[in-house]
Amino acid sequence: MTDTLPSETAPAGARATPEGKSVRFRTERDYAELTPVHVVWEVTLACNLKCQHCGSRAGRPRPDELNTAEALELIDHLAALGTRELTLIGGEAYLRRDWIELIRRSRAHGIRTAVQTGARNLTDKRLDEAADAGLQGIGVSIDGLPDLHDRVRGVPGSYDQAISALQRAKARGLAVSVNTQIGAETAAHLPELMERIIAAGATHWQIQLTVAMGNAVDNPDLLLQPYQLLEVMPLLARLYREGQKRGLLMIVGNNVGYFGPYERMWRGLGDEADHWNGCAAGQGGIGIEADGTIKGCPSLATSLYAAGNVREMSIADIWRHSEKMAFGRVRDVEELYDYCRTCYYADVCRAGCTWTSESLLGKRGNNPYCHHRVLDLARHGWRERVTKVKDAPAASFAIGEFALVREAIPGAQTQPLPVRDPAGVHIAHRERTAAGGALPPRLKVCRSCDQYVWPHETECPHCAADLAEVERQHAQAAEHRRALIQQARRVLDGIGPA
Amino acid sequence: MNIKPYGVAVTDAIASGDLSRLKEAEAAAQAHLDQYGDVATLLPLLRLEIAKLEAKKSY
Repeated sequence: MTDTLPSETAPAGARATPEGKSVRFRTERDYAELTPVHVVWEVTLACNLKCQHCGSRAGRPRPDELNTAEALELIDHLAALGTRELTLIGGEAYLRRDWIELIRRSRAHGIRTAVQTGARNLTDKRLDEAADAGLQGIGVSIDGLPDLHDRVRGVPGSYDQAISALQRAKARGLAVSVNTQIGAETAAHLPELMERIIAAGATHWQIQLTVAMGNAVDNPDLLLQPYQLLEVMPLLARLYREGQKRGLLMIVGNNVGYFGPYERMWRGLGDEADHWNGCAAGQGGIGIEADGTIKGCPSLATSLYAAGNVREMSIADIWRHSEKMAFGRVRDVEELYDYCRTCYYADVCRAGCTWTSESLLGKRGNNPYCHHRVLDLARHGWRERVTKVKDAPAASFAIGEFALVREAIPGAQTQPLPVRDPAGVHIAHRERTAAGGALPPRLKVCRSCDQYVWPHETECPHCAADLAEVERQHAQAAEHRRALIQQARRVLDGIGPA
Repeated sequence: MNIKPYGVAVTDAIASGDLSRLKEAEAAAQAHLDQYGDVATLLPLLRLEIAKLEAKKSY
């Protein structure tokens, strides 16, 4: 790195998050000041698994990974920028010799620190050292029951090692979570997998779709077809509810979307104000590659989104001034195309996850992995599938190209989709701060159909309800519920132990 | 919330909302009922409200 630690420090109170919220939750101040709240750092590309869907094609370390001094200094700079959470990934993070030093430095800054791992050879010694250094959580990647997981991860026995790691991390007091990628074969495994990870002690379960990047382009049969969301999303919703009753909170990743019937339930974990509001790359977080390359999100294609390298520029300058970091701050609906361009949610959604759509179609702005879209197409008898037309280069985070095919649902009667005028798309006013940040649009919920609608609407565009009237009824019912909850608390407090 | 696909799950998150709070109250009331037998009239009301919310697709 070429600069010294910036003289300014994080604004007083920048780390504060509302009571009951995760440190990763972005406050209005975070939006306004462009705080990189959550950083995901590939500390090494070395890996001991051979995952068929690995976007970064991990295996050998990069030839010029940051040395210990550079890495520790980078953590200091992230802290100064206001980062509150750091996820160390790889490759396999613990194959880097100094990973314990990185954890210790991050924790010394008060940054919530966790490791995402495949857990092969995550020994007791490694876990003990990490826990002693202050590691707060581990997320273990498990992509199905043993046969599927071991096949996808490329190493027999890796499922058993993953479950063992969960149990042993739990015993050491770490927060224990699981990440599961949803591919073409995964759905049938999910109910039983949920049972097993609950038994192993997991409390949080991050769900995300396998993306057409790197090794996944070489193995396209692993990819979920967009139309399969018709079955996968209701299954996930059922598991969300069941898991919640049993102490397992499902977290839907940024590429599980968007604005379908379950958005209100799961995106904000009960806080309906926290709905999907577009790709957060370069706005709420940073992705770091092991050689110091900086991107707005760890998953984005290096060839398109490498915004700079901390050996050449300060991370503060890259964060604030690089065009490739700032693309999400300045884009608008004009860059959207196909279905997404005229979608009702176009200006709040911005075609969902950039990584997913751009890796798939070679251009961001159109995303077939959208529940709202899949349902709309199905109502008219249509579905979409993807088929590979171009391989990906051998490089890390490389993309190929897929064609998007729209076809009739077998046995269904088709109708043309309604023609929507691009000029009729609602555009939300965003006031940019001097830092370049802006508050995202806030939608409201139709209390009749529970779908999100723009705040100016008086009649629900989805179910035609009188929005003011159903809101009045909802407020009455909510007041009744709250009074009942208060009554319960009073009664129970009154008869509790003295 | 920003849930980056390569990132670890947000493990300090908890679910909130009336449904969660009703369920907490129901569980507490049930526990007290088991011990004290003194909240019998409250439980059906809590359960009615839970059923109404759970009948909706997005809860």
